[in-house]
Amino acid sequence: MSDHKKRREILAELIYYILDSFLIPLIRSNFHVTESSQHRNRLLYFRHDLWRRLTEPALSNLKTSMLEEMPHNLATSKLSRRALGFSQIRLLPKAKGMRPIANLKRRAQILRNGRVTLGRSINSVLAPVFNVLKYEKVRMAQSCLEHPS
Amino acid sequence: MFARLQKFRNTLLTLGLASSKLYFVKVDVQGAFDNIPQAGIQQLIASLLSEDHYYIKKHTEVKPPDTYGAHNTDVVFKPMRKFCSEASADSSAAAFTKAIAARPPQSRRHNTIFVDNVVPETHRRSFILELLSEHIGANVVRIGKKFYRQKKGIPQGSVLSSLLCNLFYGGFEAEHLNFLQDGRSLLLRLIDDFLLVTTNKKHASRFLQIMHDGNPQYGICIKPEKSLVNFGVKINGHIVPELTNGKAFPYCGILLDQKNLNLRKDYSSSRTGGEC
Repeated sequence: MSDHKKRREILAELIYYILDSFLIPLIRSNFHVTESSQHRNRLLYFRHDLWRRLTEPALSNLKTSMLEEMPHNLATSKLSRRALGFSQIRLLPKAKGMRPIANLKRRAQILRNGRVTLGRSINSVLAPVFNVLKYEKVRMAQSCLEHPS
Repeated sequence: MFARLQKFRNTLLTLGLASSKLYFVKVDVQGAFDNIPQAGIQQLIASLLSEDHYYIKKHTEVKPPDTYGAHNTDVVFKPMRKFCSEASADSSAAAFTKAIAARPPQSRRHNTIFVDNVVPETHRRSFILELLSEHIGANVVRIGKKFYRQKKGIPQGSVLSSLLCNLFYGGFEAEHLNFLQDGRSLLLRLIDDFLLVTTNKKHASRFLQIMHDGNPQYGICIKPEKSLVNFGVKINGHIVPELTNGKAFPYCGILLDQKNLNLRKDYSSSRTGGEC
């Protein structure tokens, strides 16, 4: 390997280290970084204590109006018996209040045979349902065109 | 949206209504996904599934990139691959070829090779409905260390959310808004954002009244302050926000001309985020 190539390799590793193991953990431990629905390409940095205080009312509102708590053992036993996993909710700041967003593309890490593997995402489990509904939708639209009421 | 507007304008022209006043009504449903009744949507979907078995076939569409041939030849092109899956009620091998040939013109592909995976996945109707009911009725969410069940509305952010919402509101439109199918009105909807353009003022008022009254069966409740019309009208004693002096009508990041229905992009709202 040429000297130049080795130097470049070392530089690349250094940059990777600074970003991955230094800069990101440093920012993470001090700020909650999020996008918002107000600004298109702007990141917002919130101090953790401030973020907690801001999200508390929205979260407790969610927990009473839209959600109901499940006992932990019931939830885990239910989840272990079915293909659909759980999702995590995060809050996006809006001009007034917060908008909850669930990421259903996320693949949960699960323990299988003592090894950590990636499970299927909720959206990929739901793919057959999506395909079936799309099929029925197209069929309905076609029958509407053929036999207009 | 453009195609529907163009068609509507042509209909008006042939009816000789091109110069008559157009009434615009925009309404926005409050928290649409969160308020769709779980039982109602599950009933609707159960009534829509017409087959006992569905066959889901995966295929890949391979084609040259769009820029192919546009540049000089020493650029190396990578073929584009798209992984698709489609449901069908027919398990035979010929079904796939037939389905591709029967596609409507706008979803036909050119210069494309289709490669299918021969053996389809088979799902029973009951499996599909069960999965759906788990997803809607028992959506589990984790906040912190605790688990919660979503007791109201349909899950957001799922591949199904907007499709489910569209089907459900489609049912509402068929049941309560069918008076708008008179050829002189155009009803557009992007998920939870309704826009009515009509030559009939009575229809416009009736639509506003229905939407503002809401419909608990369909979980529809309007944000009155977000409504917008281009004529003076009062609903339930409140004045509806009015767009005066004939300015272009904003809808989903687009500005619609009130006279000739020309459309252009609305830059003012896209800069401020423009939730539609």
